[in-house]
Amino acid sequence: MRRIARLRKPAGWLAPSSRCPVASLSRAQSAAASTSAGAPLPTASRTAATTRLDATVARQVRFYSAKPGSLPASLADQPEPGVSAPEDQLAALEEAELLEEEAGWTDAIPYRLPPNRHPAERPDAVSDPSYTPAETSDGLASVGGLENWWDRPENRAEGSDFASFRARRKVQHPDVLETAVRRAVVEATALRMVGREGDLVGSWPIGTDVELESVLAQDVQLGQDGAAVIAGDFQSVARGLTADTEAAETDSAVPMPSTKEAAAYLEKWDSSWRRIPLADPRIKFAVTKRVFQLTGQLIPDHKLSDIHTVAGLLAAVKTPPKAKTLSQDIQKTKQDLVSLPNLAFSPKRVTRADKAKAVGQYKIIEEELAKRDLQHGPLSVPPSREKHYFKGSA
Amino acid sequence: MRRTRLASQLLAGAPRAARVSRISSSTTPALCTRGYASAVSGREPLSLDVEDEDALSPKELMRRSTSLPSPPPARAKYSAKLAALHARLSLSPKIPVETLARALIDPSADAHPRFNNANLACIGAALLNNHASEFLITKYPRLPMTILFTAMKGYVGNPVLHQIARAWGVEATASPGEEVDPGLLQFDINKPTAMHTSWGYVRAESAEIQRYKWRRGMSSRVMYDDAFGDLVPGQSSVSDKTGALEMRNDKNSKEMLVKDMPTNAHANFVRAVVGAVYLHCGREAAKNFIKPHFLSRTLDLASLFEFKIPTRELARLCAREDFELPVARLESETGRLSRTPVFVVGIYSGRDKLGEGTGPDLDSARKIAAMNALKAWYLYSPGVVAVPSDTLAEDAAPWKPAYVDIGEVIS
Repeated sequence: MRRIARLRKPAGWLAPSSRCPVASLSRAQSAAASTSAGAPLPTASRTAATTRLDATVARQVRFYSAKPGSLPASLADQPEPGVSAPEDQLAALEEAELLEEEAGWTDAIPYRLPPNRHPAERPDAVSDPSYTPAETSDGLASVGGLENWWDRPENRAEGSDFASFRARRKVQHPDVLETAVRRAVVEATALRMVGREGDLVGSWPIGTDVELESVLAQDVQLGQDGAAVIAGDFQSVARGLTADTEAAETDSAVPMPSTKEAAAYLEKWDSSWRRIPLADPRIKFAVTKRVFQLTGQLIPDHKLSDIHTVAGLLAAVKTPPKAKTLSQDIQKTKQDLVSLPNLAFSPKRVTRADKAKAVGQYKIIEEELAKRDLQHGPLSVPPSREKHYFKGSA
Repeated sequence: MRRTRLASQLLAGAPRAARVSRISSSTTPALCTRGYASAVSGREPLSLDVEDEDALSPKELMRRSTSLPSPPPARAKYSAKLAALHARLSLSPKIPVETLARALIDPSADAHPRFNNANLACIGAALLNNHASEFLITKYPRLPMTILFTAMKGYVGNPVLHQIARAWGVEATASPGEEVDPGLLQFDINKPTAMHTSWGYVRAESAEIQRYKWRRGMSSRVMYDDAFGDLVPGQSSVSDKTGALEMRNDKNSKEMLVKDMPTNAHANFVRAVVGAVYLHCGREAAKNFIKPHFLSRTLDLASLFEFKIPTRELARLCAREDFELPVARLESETGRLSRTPVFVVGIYSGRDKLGEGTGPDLDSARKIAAMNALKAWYLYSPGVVAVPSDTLAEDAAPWKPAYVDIGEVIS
């Protein structure tokens, strides 16, 4: 399925208005949509181009047959003068010409529409006098076609790709995870202290290293009434979380402290902040959502109900890495089983050859095969050779 | 009369140059232990102090061009089969699993005396034969010698020990080598093995006995042959009519030292286990191992008897014992003139009835009655009596001589 281009800015997002107008046969629509030839795609913005977009959207055409009578009257556009009625032949024009003519960027759509189809001239009505129809396809250029259209980077706007909420790179290191959790807790506490509890369910911008440092420098404690308290400048933290601050760069990695810095932070903080309760579902949701946004670590729903404090959240987030293979996992976790004297553990599959070797039959088989000139050397066939056979090589 | 120890003769041919150090445990095991040796923490490798008479140079140690003939002892800890066998036999923890692994290696698989079960089988054979014979003799003091030999075979002979090894769940390798599982019995039918287990003298005329089927009597068997009354095999050279010494291959194959290699290998394994029990746990533990495993088996001694002229034998027995002459009396009969008569004959010595038999005619009934009388005599048992090995315990009562008969009747 084709990815639906999402608008970059998540803040205060409006109703989805841009339904993709698919390339149609109608010239009028493309003429209306084109601006200047070859202009770079603009970034999506809320401009007056929306009205133009609405007009095109209203048409909502799909790919209809090229036959003249197939298009309903309400949807059919007047054909351009000088151009014959659309026929079944593909356009034989150069793609550059097409692009120059019709394809252009719209301000509202962050992608380039495929050009409209031009029917080719009939062979008996070709204007070029030196034209002769080709007998074979040798030497004919292949022009046009819509395959890979959306995969070509020039047809998509810069950064019009899917903008994920979660961090692109998952944070695994436990110390760094703890700093991210701390940041989320500080920010949620700051919002609560400022009184903007409605913004707890909103989306918070990621911010830069400066904001990271300032937030991690805050001191959050477990207050007397059992709620978290920031002893410091919580207003600046809350200000950094407003929705109207816009990130200048589109592709920004989430700023994270390095492992050494994280370890240094952890040494500074005392353990009382781990006892901060997360009983309030809004606070819990805000914190877990922020952690997900910053680190990519998602806490599944079935674990959420068991998390009551920050310590529980830390335990759920800091999972040890899984062993690569099952046998490594078993050797690590089930050492008591593996070390049983009457249990033989094999990290790999026990093959017939292994069984034959254990009984001493293998060398007999090798000797007998060598005697009969059937096989000299080891009996095993490497798996890569089988792949070559399947692919048809000798 | 020549007395030889066979083992040294057979082991003399062991190649010396190819002997490689067994101490290093660096061989990669074939099955199921790849990457496993590193994961196991609690098992230290066994260090053997091998003062080998043919010391290897360090160069030879490093080369390892030829592989070992049997798996090194250090791999015994990683064999599930071996651990299971150890537990199945309920062996004491004093017996290391490496010794059990050694007991599974026949000399034909590995000729080195420190790595095969020849010496263990020697100890085990002596113990088994000793305990079985004292058990039989004290339990059935009047048993004829042939029956006693056969009964010994029936309790601790090669075929029986073979069956016991199979019942213990011991499987054999297809061909021995370094890569096999240490828990499998390793032997090679094409290589010579040691025959430590039969003690006796090689008769001077053993070659002629084997070639020309000379007779050897029971008394001489007691003197010269092994515990089962079988000839102790000697050299297989026989001089023919011209007087020249010849070694014919076909004859040699008949005089092969070991006729049935698998049976012999299995039996020697069982003897080696007994030897291992004696070695690690002592004499009493070995006796307590032998009694339930071997001497508790049931052998129908009555079916072993075969008489030529039972009536004569019974008459001579009564004469010897100063009984009155045995008289056969018809006790009851039915269907004399029918197709299936039954005659019940009882043999009486004076007023004492010695035995009774039934048969389809008078003669066979009398013969059967005589046989039953003889069996009743020979299979007399005073019950469970003390055996001589009981006196070896510290707190043993003083030995009361057991009753043993003067011998069977010669007729």
